[in-house]
Amino acid sequence: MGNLNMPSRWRQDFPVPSGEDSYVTRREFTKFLGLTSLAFLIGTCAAVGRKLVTQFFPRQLGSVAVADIHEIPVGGYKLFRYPTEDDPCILLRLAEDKFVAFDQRCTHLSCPVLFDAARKQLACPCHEGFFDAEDGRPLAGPPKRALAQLSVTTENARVLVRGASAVGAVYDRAFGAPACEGCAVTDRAYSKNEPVRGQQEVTA
Amino acid sequence: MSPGIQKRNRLNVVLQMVTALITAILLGQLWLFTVTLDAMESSAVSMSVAIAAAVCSLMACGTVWVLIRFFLSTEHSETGE
Repeated sequence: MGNLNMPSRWRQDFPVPSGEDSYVTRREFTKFLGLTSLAFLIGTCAAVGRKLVTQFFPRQLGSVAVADIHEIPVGGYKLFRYPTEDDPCILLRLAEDKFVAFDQRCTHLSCPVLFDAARKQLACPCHEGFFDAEDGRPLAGPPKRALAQLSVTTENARVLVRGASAVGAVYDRAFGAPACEGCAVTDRAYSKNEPVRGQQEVTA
Repeated sequence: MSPGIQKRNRLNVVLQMVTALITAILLGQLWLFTVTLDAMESSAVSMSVAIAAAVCSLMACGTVWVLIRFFLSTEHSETGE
């Protein structure tokens, strides 16, 4: 026969005093619904505001030389980082005079995409997403959005890339965003003829 | 059934109806939020779509507020609290 004065095992494991239970009043419940709706409205307005800032005040990043023209054969590619060391990008040479560059992160879940020169596609090995190497648009698989494309120019036998950040210039002016350190590192390395991080990834 | 219990039952029915309406509106607002998030990330979605979604969300929030006011006024008229 057990001791009736001792609390049962489950009460010891879950010591929730019933006296502290409280009911939700109707007013509290309606208040919760109203605040939820307000939270959705604030989130929607914040997203629209960010799109407005991005569209009307795009932050233009400087051009960066990422490769020599003769460094990459036709059908080859090179990995580089732009605008910061945390932003992997891929430069493709599709034809003798045609270079394209994209953000290397898949628009599905940010896996790095790989170049398939035979099919002229960028393939994401994680979930078998495929992008057109010409313009980065999704061809198959889970990705629905195109890869972010950088503008590419050639000058003095060097390939220059340039892109616009999603963060607006207004944000930079307000909060004093740092300069593009990745670009500075890249330019400095080229001026000293030193290898740049990712430069060894040149294949045909 | 005492008048007090009848009154409480009526209020519960009103609350359930209001809750059902507000839940539907909140689901719509959630969808609008995903539309604007998509617009924020993708340049393919135009700005007018994002602004229209924000306006609709504002109207939905206003409707929720009106429904809550309606419920509270009903409660006040029924109970005097």
